[in-house]
Amino acid sequence: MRGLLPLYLFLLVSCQNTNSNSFDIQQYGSTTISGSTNFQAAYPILQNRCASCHTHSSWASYKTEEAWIASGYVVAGSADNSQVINRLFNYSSSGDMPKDGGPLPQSEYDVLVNWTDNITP
Amino acid sequence: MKYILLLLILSIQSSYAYVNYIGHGYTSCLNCHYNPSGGGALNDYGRVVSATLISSGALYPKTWSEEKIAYTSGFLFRKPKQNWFRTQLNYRGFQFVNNPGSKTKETKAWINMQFDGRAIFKFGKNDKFIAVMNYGYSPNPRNVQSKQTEWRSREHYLGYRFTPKVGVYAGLMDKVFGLKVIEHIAYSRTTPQVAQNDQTHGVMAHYLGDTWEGFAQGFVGNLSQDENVRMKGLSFMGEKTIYDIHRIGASVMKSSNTVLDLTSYSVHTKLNLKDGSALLAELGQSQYQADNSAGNRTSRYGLVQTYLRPIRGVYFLTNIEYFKKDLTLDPFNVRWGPGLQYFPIQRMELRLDMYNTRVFSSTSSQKDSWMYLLQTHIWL
Repeated sequence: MRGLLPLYLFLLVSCQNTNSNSFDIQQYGSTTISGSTNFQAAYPILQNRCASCHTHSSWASYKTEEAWIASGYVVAGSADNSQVINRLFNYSSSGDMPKDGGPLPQSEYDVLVNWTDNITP
Repeated sequence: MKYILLLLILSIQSSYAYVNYIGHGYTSCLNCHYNPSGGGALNDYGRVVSATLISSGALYPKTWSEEKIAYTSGFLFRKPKQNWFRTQLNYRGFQFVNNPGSKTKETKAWINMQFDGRAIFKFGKNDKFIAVMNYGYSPNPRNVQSKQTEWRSREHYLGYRFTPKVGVYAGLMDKVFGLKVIEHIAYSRTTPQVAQNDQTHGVMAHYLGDTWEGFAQGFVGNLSQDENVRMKGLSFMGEKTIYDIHRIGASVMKSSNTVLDLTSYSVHTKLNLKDGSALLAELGQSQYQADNSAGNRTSRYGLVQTYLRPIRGVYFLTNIEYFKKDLTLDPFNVRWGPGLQYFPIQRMELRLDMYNTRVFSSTSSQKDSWMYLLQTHIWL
Protein backbone atom coordinates (compact mmCIF):
# COMPACT_ATOMS: atom_id res chain seq x y z
CA MET A 1 0.00 0.00 0.00
CA ARG A 2 2.78 2.45 0.79
CA GLY A 3 4.04 2.07 -2.75
CA LEU A 4 0.80 3.55 -4.03
CA LEU A 5 1.19 6.78 -2.12
CA PRO A 6 3.37 8.63 -4.68
CA LEU A 7 0.88 7.81 -7.45
CA TYR A 8 -2.00 9.01 -5.34
CA LEU A 9 -0.23 12.25 -4.45
CA PHE A 10 0.62 12.79 -8.12
CA LEU A 11 -3.03 12.52 -9.07
CA LEU A 12 -4.02 14.72 -6.17
CA VAL A 13 -2.22 17.72 -7.65
CA SER A 14 -3.00 17.11 -11.31
CA CYS A 15 -6.73 17.44 -11.26
CA GLN A 16 -8.67 19.73 -13.56
CA ASN A 17 -9.07 23.31 -12.45
CA THR A 18 -11.65 24.81 -14.80
CA ASN A 19 -15.05 24.58 -13.22
CA SER A 20 -18.15 26.68 -12.61
CA ASN A 21 -16.26 28.98 -10.25
CA SER A 22 -13.22 29.69 -12.39
CA PHE A 23 -14.44 33.17 -13.33
CA ASP A 24 -16.25 34.07 -10.12
CA ILE A 25 -13.90 36.94 -9.37
CA GLN A 26 -14.71 38.60 -12.71
CA GLN A 27 -18.41 37.79 -12.53
CA TYR A 28 -19.26 38.28 -8.89
CA GLY A 29 -16.40 40.36 -7.50
CA SER A 30 -16.88 44.06 -6.96
CA THR A 31 -14.76 46.12 -9.33
CA THR A 32 -14.08 49.81 -9.37
CA ILE A 33 -14.68 50.98 -12.91
CA SER A 34 -13.50 54.26 -14.28
CA GLY A 35 -14.81 55.93 -17.39
CA SER A 36 -17.98 57.72 -18.44
CA THR A 37 -21.06 57.68 -16.26
CA ASN A 38 -22.86 55.73 -18.98
CA PHE A 39 -20.18 53.03 -19.00
CA GLN A 40 -20.17 52.77 -15.23
CA ALA A 41 -23.93 52.15 -15.39
CA ALA A 42 -23.56 49.60 -18.21
CA TYR A 43 -20.66 47.62 -16.78
CA PRO A 44 -22.54 45.68 -14.05
CA ILE A 45 -25.12 44.68 -16.66
CA LEU A 46 -22.41 43.47 -19.04
CA GLN A 47 -20.84 41.61 -16.16
CA ASN A 48 -24.05 39.96 -15.01
CA ARG A 49 -25.86 39.34 -18.30
CA CYS A 50 -22.96 38.67 -20.68
CA ALA A 51 -19.77 37.70 -18.87
CA SER A 52 -21.66 35.17 -16.75
CA CYS A 53 -21.71 32.86 -19.81
CA HIS A 54 -18.95 34.36 -21.96
CA THR A 55 -16.31 33.16 -19.59
CA HIS A 56 -13.56 33.78 -22.13
CA SER A 57 -10.60 35.28 -20.36
CA SER A 58 -10.66 38.21 -22.81
CA TRP A 59 -14.25 39.16 -21.92
CA ALA A 60 -13.30 39.42 -18.30
CA SER A 61 -10.60 41.93 -19.23
CA TYR A 62 -12.95 44.40 -20.96
CA LYS A 63 -13.08 46.93 -18.16
CA THR A 64 -12.93 50.10 -20.21
CA GLU A 65 -14.90 51.52 -23.11
CA GLU A 66 -11.76 51.35 -25.22
CA ALA A 67 -11.42 47.63 -24.56
CA TRP A 68 -15.02 46.99 -25.63
CA ILE A 69 -14.50 48.96 -28.83
CA ALA A 70 -11.22 47.19 -29.54
CA SER A 71 -12.98 43.85 -29.07
CA GLY A 72 -15.27 44.65 -32.02
CA TYR A 73 -18.41 43.96 -30.00
CA VAL A 74 -19.10 47.69 -29.59
CA VAL A 75 -19.14 50.33 -32.33
CA ALA A 76 -18.77 53.76 -30.79
CA GLY A 77 -21.87 55.87 -31.25
CA SER A 78 -24.00 53.13 -32.82
CA ALA A 79 -26.07 50.71 -30.80
CA ASP A 80 -27.48 49.28 -34.04
CA ASN A 81 -24.03 48.22 -35.22
CA SER A 82 -22.82 46.98 -31.85
CA GLN A 83 -23.06 43.21 -31.45
CA VAL A 84 -23.42 43.61 -27.73
CA ILE A 85 -26.80 45.22 -28.55
CA ASN A 86 -27.95 43.70 -31.84
CA ARG A 87 -27.47 40.11 -30.71
CA LEU A 88 -29.89 40.63 -27.82
CA PHE A 89 -33.40 39.19 -27.79
CA ASN A 90 -34.56 42.73 -27.00
CA TYR A 91 -33.19 44.10 -30.28
CA SER A 92 -35.08 41.91 -32.76
CA SER A 93 -36.73 38.55 -33.17
CA SER A 94 -33.51 37.20 -34.65
CA GLY A 95 -31.65 38.01 -31.45
CA ASP A 96 -30.23 35.03 -29.60
CA MET A 97 -28.73 36.44 -26.41
CA PRO A 98 -28.62 35.95 -23.50
CA LYS A 99 -29.11 32.21 -23.90
CA ASP A 100 -30.19 31.36 -20.41
CA GLY A 101 -32.34 34.21 -19.28
CA GLY A 102 -34.50 35.58 -22.06
CA PRO A 103 -34.62 39.28 -22.91
CA LEU A 104 -33.10 41.80 -20.54
CA PRO A 105 -35.37 43.97 -18.42
CA GLN A 106 -36.18 47.06 -20.50
CA SER A 107 -34.40 49.33 -18.03
CA GLU A 108 -31.14 47.39 -18.42
CA TYR A 109 -31.46 47.29 -22.19
CA ASP A 110 -31.99 51.06 -22.24
CA VAL A 111 -28.82 51.55 -20.22
CA LEU A 112 -26.78 49.54 -22.74
CA VAL A 113 -28.27 51.33 -25.75
CA ASN A 114 -27.74 54.71 -24.12
CA TRP A 115 -24.12 53.81 -23.42
CA THR A 116 -23.23 52.59 -26.91
CA ASP A 117 -25.16 55.36 -28.70
CA ASN A 118 -23.37 58.05 -26.75
CA ILE A 119 -19.78 56.90 -27.00
CA THR A 120 -17.91 59.57 -28.93
CA PRO A 121 -16.42 57.92 -32.03
CA MET B 1 -18.90 -20.63 -8.26
CA LYS B 2 -20.55 -19.56 -11.49
CA TYR B 3 -23.97 -20.37 -10.07
CA ILE B 4 -23.22 -18.17 -7.09
CA LEU B 5 -22.39 -15.33 -9.47
CA LEU B 6 -25.60 -15.86 -11.41
CA LEU B 7 -27.56 -15.95 -8.18
CA LEU B 8 -25.90 -12.69 -7.19
CA ILE B 9 -26.92 -11.11 -10.49
CA LEU B 10 -30.51 -12.18 -10.13
CA SER B 11 -30.98 -11.53 -6.45
CA ILE B 12 -29.44 -8.17 -5.62
CA GLN B 13 -32.10 -5.55 -6.15
CA SER B 14 -30.47 -2.32 -5.16
CA SER B 15 -28.02 -1.00 -7.69
CA TYR B 16 -27.84 1.11 -10.80
CA ALA B 17 -25.42 2.79 -13.12
CA TYR B 18 -27.52 5.60 -14.53
CA VAL B 19 -30.17 7.15 -12.32
CA ASN B 20 -32.99 5.74 -14.41
CA TYR B 21 -31.99 2.17 -13.56
CA ILE B 22 -34.41 2.40 -10.69
CA GLY B 23 -36.71 1.13 -13.44
CA HIS B 24 -34.91 -2.18 -13.11
CA GLY B 25 -35.69 -2.22 -9.42
CA TYR B 26 -32.41 -0.75 -8.26
CA THR B 27 -32.61 2.16 -5.89
CA SER B 28 -29.10 2.85 -4.56
CA CYS B 29 -25.84 3.49 -6.42
CA LEU B 30 -23.56 1.61 -4.08
CA ASN B 31 -23.88 -1.88 -5.46
CA CYS B 32 -22.81 -0.85 -8.96
CA HIS B 33 -20.41 2.01 -8.21
CA TYR B 34 -17.48 2.39 -5.87
CA ASN B 35 -18.74 5.90 -5.11
CA PRO B 36 -22.04 5.44 -3.24
CA SER B 37 -23.42 8.67 -4.73
CA GLY B 38 -23.01 7.18 -8.21
CA GLY B 39 -20.96 8.04 -11.26
CA GLY B 40 -17.36 7.13 -11.95
CA ALA B 41 -15.92 3.65 -11.83
CA LEU B 42 -18.21 0.63 -11.89
CA ASN B 43 -17.51 -2.19 -9.50
CA ASP B 44 -17.52 -5.83 -10.58
CA TYR B 45 -21.23 -6.21 -10.02
CA GLY B 46 -21.97 -3.03 -11.95
CA ARG B 47 -20.01 -4.35 -14.91
CA VAL B 48 -21.99 -7.57 -14.86
CA VAL B 49 -25.31 -5.69 -14.76
CA SER B 50 -24.13 -3.47 -17.59
CA ALA B 51 -23.12 -6.47 -19.70
CA THR B 52 -26.29 -8.43 -19.11
CA LEU B 53 -29.40 -6.64 -17.96
CA ILE B 54 -28.71 -3.30 -19.62
CA SER B 55 -27.18 -4.29 -22.96
CA SER B 56 -28.97 -6.01 -25.80
CA GLY B 57 -28.26 -9.69 -26.14
CA ALA B 58 -29.19 -9.81 -29.83
CA LEU B 59 -25.65 -9.77 -31.18
CA TYR B 60 -24.38 -12.72 -29.16
CA PRO B 61 -24.45 -16.26 -30.52
CA LYS B 62 -27.64 -17.99 -29.41
CA THR B 63 -25.57 -20.54 -27.52
CA TRP B 64 -24.22 -17.87 -25.15
CA SER B 65 -25.92 -17.89 -21.76
CA GLU B 66 -26.31 -14.82 -19.53
CA GLU B 67 -23.79 -16.45 -17.29
CA LYS B 68 -21.20 -16.64 -20.05
CA ILE B 69 -21.80 -13.01 -20.97
CA ALA B 70 -21.41 -12.03 -17.32
CA TYR B 71 -18.01 -13.71 -17.21
CA THR B 72 -16.81 -11.54 -20.10
CA SER B 73 -17.63 -8.28 -18.33
CA GLY B 74 -14.16 -7.76 -16.87
CA PHE B 75 -11.45 -5.49 -18.24
CA LEU B 76 -10.63 -6.50 -21.84
CA PHE B 77 -13.23 -9.27 -21.55
CA ARG B 78 -11.12 -11.18 -19.06
CA LYS B 79 -12.05 -12.59 -15.71
CA PRO B 80 -9.91 -10.85 -13.04
CA LYS B 81 -7.15 -13.03 -11.61
CA GLN B 82 -7.03 -11.27 -8.27
CA ASN B 83 -9.40 -9.34 -6.05
CA TRP B 84 -7.36 -6.30 -5.13
CA PHE B 85 -6.88 -4.36 -8.37
CA ARG B 86 -9.16 -3.30 -11.22
CA THR B 87 -8.62 -1.05 -14.17
CA GLN B 88 -11.02 0.49 -16.69
CA LEU B 89 -10.88 2.57 -19.87
CA ASN B 90 -13.64 4.90 -21.00
CA TYR B 91 -14.29 6.90 -24.13
CA ARG B 92 -17.19 9.22 -24.76
CA GLY B 93 -17.55 11.46 -27.83
CA PHE B 94 -20.36 13.12 -29.68
CA GLN B 95 -21.36 15.00 -32.76
CA PHE B 96 -22.92 18.24 -31.68
CA VAL B 97 -25.11 20.35 -33.99
CA ASN B 98 -26.54 23.63 -32.81
CA ASN B 99 -29.32 25.34 -34.79
CA PRO B 100 -29.30 22.72 -37.58
CA GLY B 101 -30.26 24.13 -40.98
CA SER B 102 -29.67 27.76 -40.07
CA LYS B 103 -27.44 29.55 -42.61
CA THR B 104 -26.06 31.93 -40.03
CA LYS B 105 -26.22 30.15 -36.70
CA GLU B 106 -25.54 26.47 -37.39
CA THR B 107 -22.51 25.15 -35.56
CA LYS B 108 -21.21 21.60 -35.77
CA ALA B 109 -18.42 19.91 -33.93
CA TRP B 110 -17.19 16.50 -32.94
CA ILE B 111 -16.26 16.63 -29.29
CA ASN B 112 -14.11 14.07 -27.54
CA MET B 113 -15.74 14.49 -24.19
CA GLN B 114 -13.91 11.90 -22.17
CA PHE B 115 -11.06 9.48 -22.59
CA ASP B 116 -9.76 8.24 -19.31
CA GLY B 117 -8.32 5.36 -17.43
CA ARG B 118 -9.32 4.32 -13.96
CA ALA B 119 -7.43 2.32 -11.40
CA ILE B 120 -9.08 0.85 -8.36
CA PHE B 121 -7.32 -0.77 -5.44
CA LYS B 122 -9.59 -2.62 -3.07
CA PHE B 123 -9.04 -4.71 -0.02
CA GLY B 124 -11.12 -6.56 2.51
CA LYS B 125 -14.48 -8.23 2.44
CA ASN B 126 -17.05 -6.43 0.28
CA ASP B 127 -14.43 -3.91 -0.86
CA LYS B 128 -14.05 -2.55 2.65
CA PHE B 129 -11.16 -0.27 1.71
CA ILE B 130 -10.90 1.30 -1.74
CA ALA B 131 -8.61 3.75 -3.52
CA VAL B 132 -10.09 5.03 -6.78
CA MET B 133 -8.12 7.09 -9.27
CA ASN B 134 -9.01 8.55 -12.61
CA TYR B 135 -6.76 10.22 -15.15
CA GLY B 136 -7.30 11.14 -18.76
CA TYR B 137 -8.45 13.61 -21.35
CA SER B 138 -11.36 15.92 -20.76
CA PRO B 139 -11.68 19.05 -22.85
CA ASN B 140 -11.88 22.55 -21.52
CA PRO B 141 -15.42 23.90 -21.86
CA ARG B 142 -16.05 25.35 -25.33
CA ASN B 143 -16.56 28.89 -24.11
CA VAL B 144 -13.42 28.98 -22.02
CA GLN B 145 -10.08 30.08 -23.41
CA SER B 146 -7.78 28.21 -21.10
CA LYS B 147 -4.18 27.27 -21.44
CA GLN B 148 -4.36 24.55 -18.86
CA THR B 149 -3.74 20.98 -19.89
CA GLU B 150 -6.72 18.91 -20.89
CA TRP B 151 -5.14 15.78 -19.39
CA ARG B 152 -6.14 15.59 -15.79
CA SER B 153 -7.84 13.73 -12.99
CA ARG B 154 -11.52 14.18 -12.30
CA GLU B 155 -11.65 11.98 -9.26
CA HIS B 156 -9.31 10.33 -6.83
CA TYR B 157 -10.42 9.29 -3.40
CA LEU B 158 -10.04 6.80 -0.63
CA GLY B 159 -12.98 5.01 0.91
CA TYR B 160 -13.51 2.89 3.97
CA ARG B 161 -16.70 1.14 4.99
CA PHE B 162 -16.83 0.50 8.71
CA THR B 163 -19.84 -1.72 8.16
CA PRO B 164 -21.87 -2.48 5.02
CA LYS B 165 -24.13 0.37 6.10
CA VAL B 166 -21.61 3.05 7.01
CA GLY B 167 -18.75 4.38 4.92
CA VAL B 168 -16.46 7.40 4.75
CA TYR B 169 -14.78 8.70 1.59
CA ALA B 170 -12.11 11.38 1.20
CA GLY B 171 -10.53 12.96 -1.86
CA LEU B 172 -11.69 14.56 -5.09
CA MET B 173 -15.31 13.63 -5.80
CA ASP B 174 -18.54 14.97 -7.21
CA LYS B 175 -20.59 17.09 -4.86
CA VAL B 176 -23.59 15.19 -3.57
CA PHE B 177 -26.71 17.01 -4.61
CA GLY B 178 -29.91 16.01 -6.41
CA LEU B 179 -30.23 13.60 -9.30
CA LYS B 180 -26.90 12.89 -10.93
CA VAL B 181 -28.31 12.75 -14.45
CA ILE B 182 -25.87 12.20 -17.28
CA GLU B 183 -26.77 15.46 -19.08
CA HIS B 184 -24.21 17.87 -17.70
CA ILE B 185 -25.90 20.80 -19.47
CA ALA B 186 -29.12 20.16 -17.54
CA TYR B 187 -30.21 23.22 -15.58
CA SER B 188 -30.47 20.95 -12.56
CA ARG B 189 -26.71 20.39 -12.79
CA THR B 190 -25.46 23.82 -13.88
CA THR B 191 -27.57 25.97 -11.54
CA PRO B 192 -26.36 24.44 -8.24
CA GLN B 193 -22.89 24.02 -9.81
CA VAL B 194 -22.71 20.23 -9.82
CA ALA B 195 -21.80 19.82 -13.50
CA GLN B 196 -19.11 17.70 -15.13
CA ASN B 197 -16.10 19.72 -13.93
CA ASP B 198 -17.34 20.69 -10.49
CA GLN B 199 -15.67 17.98 -8.44
CA THR B 200 -14.30 19.06 -5.09
CA HIS B 201 -11.86 17.80 -2.50
CA GLY B 202 -13.64 16.84 0.65
CA VAL B 203 -14.94 14.16 2.95
CA MET B 204 -18.22 12.33 2.48
CA ALA B 205 -20.06 10.13 4.96
CA HIS B 206 -22.62 7.67 3.67
CA TYR B 207 -25.29 5.67 5.44
CA LEU B 208 -27.24 2.94 3.69
CA GLY B 209 -30.30 1.93 5.66
CA ASP B 210 -32.97 -0.58 4.79
CA THR B 211 -35.40 2.03 3.52
CA TRP B 212 -33.36 5.19 3.34
CA GLU B 213 -29.95 6.45 2.40
CA GLY B 214 -28.11 9.53 3.61
CA PHE B 215 -25.06 11.52 2.55
CA ALA B 216 -23.19 14.31 4.32
CA GLN B 217 -20.27 15.98 2.63
CA GLY B 218 -17.87 18.69 3.72
CA PHE B 219 -15.72 20.15 0.96
CA VAL B 220 -12.95 22.68 0.54
CA GLY B 221 -13.09 23.23 -3.22
CA ASN B 222 -10.82 22.00 -5.93
CA LEU B 223 -7.32 22.30 -4.50
CA SER B 224 -5.76 22.83 -7.93
CA GLN B 225 -7.69 26.10 -8.28
CA ASP B 226 -6.66 29.45 -6.87
CA GLU B 227 -7.66 29.66 -3.24
CA ASN B 228 -10.01 32.63 -3.73
CA VAL B 229 -12.35 30.83 -6.15
CA ARG B 230 -12.53 27.47 -4.35
CA MET B 231 -16.07 26.79 -3.17
CA LYS B 232 -16.04 25.55 0.40
CA GLY B 233 -19.09 24.24 2.09
CA LEU B 234 -21.41 21.44 3.08
CA SER B 235 -24.01 19.35 1.33
CA PHE B 236 -26.57 16.87 2.57
CA MET B 237 -28.78 14.51 0.67
CA GLY B 238 -31.29 11.96 1.85
CA GLU B 239 -33.41 9.47 -0.07
CA LYS B 240 -36.23 7.29 1.19
CA THR B 241 -37.70 4.25 -0.50
CA ILE B 242 -41.47 4.43 -0.81
CA TYR B 243 -43.89 1.70 -1.83
CA ASP B 244 -40.89 -0.66 -2.00
CA ILE B 245 -39.73 0.39 -5.47
CA HIS B 246 -39.74 4.20 -5.70
CA ARG B 247 -37.62 6.84 -4.08
CA ILE B 248 -38.05 10.40 -2.93
CA GLY B 249 -35.20 12.60 -1.84
CA ALA B 250 -34.11 16.04 -0.75
CA SER B 251 -30.81 17.90 -0.91
CA VAL B 252 -29.37 21.06 0.52
CA MET B 253 -25.98 22.58 -0.14
CA LYS B 254 -24.30 25.75 1.07
CA SER B 255 -20.96 26.88 -0.27
CA SER B 256 -18.96 30.03 -0.69
CA ASN B 257 -15.73 31.54 -1.94
CA THR B 258 -14.38 35.06 -1.57
CA VAL B 259 -16.99 36.63 -3.88
CA LEU B 260 -20.02 34.32 -3.95
CA ASP B 261 -22.31 32.63 -1.44
CA LEU B 262 -24.43 29.91 -3.00
CA THR B 263 -27.29 28.15 -1.26
CA SER B 264 -29.15 25.42 -3.14
CA TYR B 265 -31.97 23.10 -2.17
CA SER B 266 -33.99 20.60 -4.13
CA VAL B 267 -36.44 17.73 -3.92
CA HIS B 268 -36.44 14.82 -6.31
CA THR B 269 -38.09 11.54 -7.03
CA LYS B 270 -37.21 8.37 -8.91
CA LEU B 271 -40.21 6.33 -9.92
CA ASN B 272 -39.96 2.74 -11.09
CA LEU B 273 -42.32 2.23 -14.03
CA LYS B 274 -41.33 -1.45 -14.19
CA ASP B 275 -39.46 -3.50 -16.79
CA GLY B 276 -36.63 -0.99 -17.00
CA SER B 277 -38.79 2.10 -17.48
CA ALA B 278 -38.54 5.01 -15.09
CA LEU B 279 -39.61 8.56 -14.42
CA LEU B 280 -37.23 11.01 -12.75
CA ALA B 281 -38.08 14.49 -11.50
CA GLU B 282 -36.29 17.24 -9.63
CA LEU B 283 -37.32 20.73 -8.54
CA GLY B 284 -34.80 23.09 -7.01
CA GLN B 285 -33.64 26.61 -6.33
CA SER B 286 -30.26 28.29 -5.96
CA GLN B 287 -29.65 31.62 -4.24
CA TYR B 288 -26.63 33.59 -5.43
CA GLN B 289 -25.30 36.25 -3.08
CA ALA B 290 -22.48 38.07 -4.84
CA ASP B 291 -19.95 40.67 -3.82
CA ASN B 292 -21.35 42.90 -6.53
CA SER B 293 -25.08 43.38 -6.24
CA ALA B 294 -25.58 42.77 -9.99
CA GLY B 295 -24.87 39.10 -9.46
CA ASN B 296 -27.51 38.58 -6.77
CA ARG B 297 -30.40 36.39 -7.84
CA THR B 298 -32.47 33.35 -7.04
CA SER B 299 -32.77 30.81 -9.85
CA ARG B 300 -35.33 28.02 -10.06
CA TYR B 301 -35.19 24.88 -12.17
CA GLY B 302 -37.23 21.79 -12.84
CA LEU B 303 -36.46 18.52 -14.56
CA VAL B 304 -38.67 15.64 -15.68
CA GLN B 305 -37.19 12.70 -17.55
CA THR B 306 -38.83 9.51 -18.67
CA TYR B 307 -37.04 6.40 -19.82
CA LEU B 308 -39.22 3.83 -21.54
CA ARG B 309 -37.71 0.44 -22.36
CA PRO B 310 -39.56 -1.38 -25.14
CA ILE B 311 -36.95 -4.12 -25.48
CA ARG B 312 -33.72 -4.98 -23.74
CA GLY B 313 -30.90 -2.58 -24.67
CA VAL B 314 -33.18 0.19 -25.91
CA TYR B 315 -34.51 3.19 -23.98
CA PHE B 316 -36.74 5.90 -25.42
CA LEU B 317 -36.33 9.01 -23.40
CA THR B 318 -37.93 12.39 -23.04
CA ASN B 319 -36.38 15.30 -21.26
CA ILE B 320 -38.31 18.37 -20.10
CA GLU B 321 -36.57 21.18 -18.28
CA TYR B 322 -37.71 24.47 -16.84
CA PHE B 323 -35.38 27.31 -15.88
CA LYS B 324 -36.01 30.75 -14.49
CA LYS B 325 -32.67 32.44 -14.03
CA ASP B 326 -34.00 35.28 -11.89
CA LEU B 327 -37.28 34.91 -10.00
CA THR B 328 -37.76 38.68 -9.98
CA LEU B 329 -37.79 38.83 -13.78
CA ASP B 330 -40.38 37.72 -16.27
CA PRO B 331 -38.59 35.43 -18.78
CA PHE B 332 -38.10 31.73 -18.32
CA ASN B 333 -36.76 28.93 -20.51
CA VAL B 334 -38.25 25.56 -21.35
CA ARG B 335 -36.00 22.97 -22.96
CA TRP B 336 -37.40 19.65 -24.05
CA GLY B 337 -36.78 16.88 -26.48
CA PRO B 338 -36.82 13.19 -27.20
CA GLY B 339 -33.89 10.84 -27.19
CA LEU B 340 -32.88 7.30 -27.90
CA GLN B 341 -30.36 5.26 -25.97
CA TYR B 342 -29.14 1.97 -27.39
CA PHE B 343 -26.74 -0.53 -25.88
CA PRO B 344 -26.16 -2.88 -28.86
CA ILE B 345 -23.66 -4.98 -26.94
CA GLN B 346 -21.86 -4.75 -23.65
CA ARG B 347 -19.36 -1.84 -23.39
CA MET B 348 -21.08 0.25 -26.02
CA GLU B 349 -23.72 2.94 -25.72
CA LEU B 350 -25.11 4.90 -28.66
CA ARG B 351 -27.33 7.82 -27.92
CA LEU B 352 -29.29 10.48 -29.79
CA ASP B 353 -30.63 13.53 -27.97
CA MET B 354 -32.62 16.40 -29.44
CA TYR B 355 -33.23 19.64 -27.59
CA ASN B 356 -35.61 22.46 -28.35
CA THR B 357 -35.25 25.57 -26.21
CA ARG B 358 -37.92 28.24 -26.05
CA VAL B 359 -37.74 31.50 -24.13
CA PHE B 360 -41.07 32.60 -22.71
CA SER B 361 -41.42 36.31 -22.17
CA SER B 362 -44.40 38.63 -21.92
CA THR B 363 -42.50 41.48 -23.57
CA SER B 364 -40.88 39.91 -26.64
CA SER B 365 -40.80 36.80 -28.77
CA GLN B 366 -37.82 34.88 -30.06
CA LYS B 367 -37.17 32.02 -32.39
CA ASP B 368 -36.68 28.65 -30.76
CA SER B 369 -33.21 27.19 -30.72
CA TRP B 370 -32.52 23.56 -31.61
CA MET B 371 -29.67 21.23 -30.89
CA TYR B 372 -28.96 17.56 -31.33
CA LEU B 373 -26.25 15.26 -30.10
CA LEU B 374 -25.13 11.90 -31.45
CA GLN B 375 -23.11 10.23 -28.77
CA THR B 376 -20.85 7.21 -28.63
CA HIS B 377 -19.71 5.77 -25.34
CA ILE B 378 -17.31 2.84 -25.20
CA TRP B 379 -15.71 1.26 -22.16
CA LEU B 380 -13.31 -1.62 -21.73
